[in-house]
Amino acid sequence: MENNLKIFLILLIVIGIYMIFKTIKKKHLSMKFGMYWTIIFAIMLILIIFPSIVEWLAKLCGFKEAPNMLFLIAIFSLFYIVFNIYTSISKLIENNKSMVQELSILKEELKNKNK
Amino acid sequence: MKVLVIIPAYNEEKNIKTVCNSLENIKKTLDFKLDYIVINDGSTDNTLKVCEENHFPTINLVHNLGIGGAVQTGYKYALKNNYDIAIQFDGDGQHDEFYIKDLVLPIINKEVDMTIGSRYVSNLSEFKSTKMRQAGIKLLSFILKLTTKEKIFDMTSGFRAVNKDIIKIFSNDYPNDYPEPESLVAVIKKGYDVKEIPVKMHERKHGKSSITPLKSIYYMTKVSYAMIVRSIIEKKVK
Repeated sequence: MENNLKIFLILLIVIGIYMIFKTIKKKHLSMKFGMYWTIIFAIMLILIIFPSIVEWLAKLCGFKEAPNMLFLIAIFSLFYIVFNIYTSISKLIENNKSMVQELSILKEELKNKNK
Repeated sequence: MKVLVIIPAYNEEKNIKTVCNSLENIKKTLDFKLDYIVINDGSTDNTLKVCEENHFPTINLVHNLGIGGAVQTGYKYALKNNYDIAIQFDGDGQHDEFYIKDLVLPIINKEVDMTIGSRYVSNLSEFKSTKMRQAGIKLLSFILKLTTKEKIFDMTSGFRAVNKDIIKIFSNDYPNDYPEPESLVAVIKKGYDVKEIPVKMHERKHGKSSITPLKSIYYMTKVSYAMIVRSIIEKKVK
């Protein structure tokens, strides 16, 4: 890999990690998900600094070209993340529904009590 | 001086009665006003029923929020009702009510802002947890030393007392899962004084701890990460 490209990619990742910390500070990202993203960035950083790991791993798994393996891993990771987001949203919808129900029942009970 | 004991309880039907009764008994011996509140964190067993039958003051969460969310509910309640000191006290009978006054006194005397009931600063407690867990706690203690330069031995102790300033901070911002070490970093980084108080702890009588061996690697990663990030993003306010 060209050294210039390497430096550029490392810079991107440093900015990425900085953005994660900033978002956590604003409380727009939970510690848990911040950690997941930081781990992903950290793995990317290692692979950029030591690209030979990718080639070695690709050979080990039987890929003809190293980038093919990277694309496959990237697609699978994205699938996994999107699936996780879907399950979280479903859980939120469920919780939200029962919260509205609980609150409305409570309001009704209060109204009856005040009569 | 109004003091509130916050008791987070998730599926503690077998323990909660003993815990609340012991607090009722200790109340009479103290020279400050002590109230307690059980936060039932959406238990799936009879915890709520036991609390209602015995008329223990209880907040019933309609969903399970996890330990952080449950405890924070207690801090919000403390802030709303103008308590001067809030104490976290586990619902599983691990903590000993006789040490409440030891935790509260340094805060009343304005020596420190927060006290932590510790198993490791004396030989009071015969129960010190497993070897593996002790090693984990030592590592967390080391990370705390690195990030804040403070030395706290019992990093995961859930037996803690805080003053009004910190009640306000915790009501506003408290970690969701595995909150103890992370919130400790936040408090110290903000510039508040924390002191460890020797206490006795018991092995829980019924049920098992929420952290299984399988989860412990995830636990250590998550907590270490949270502590380091906290130490970076928190600013001194005091």
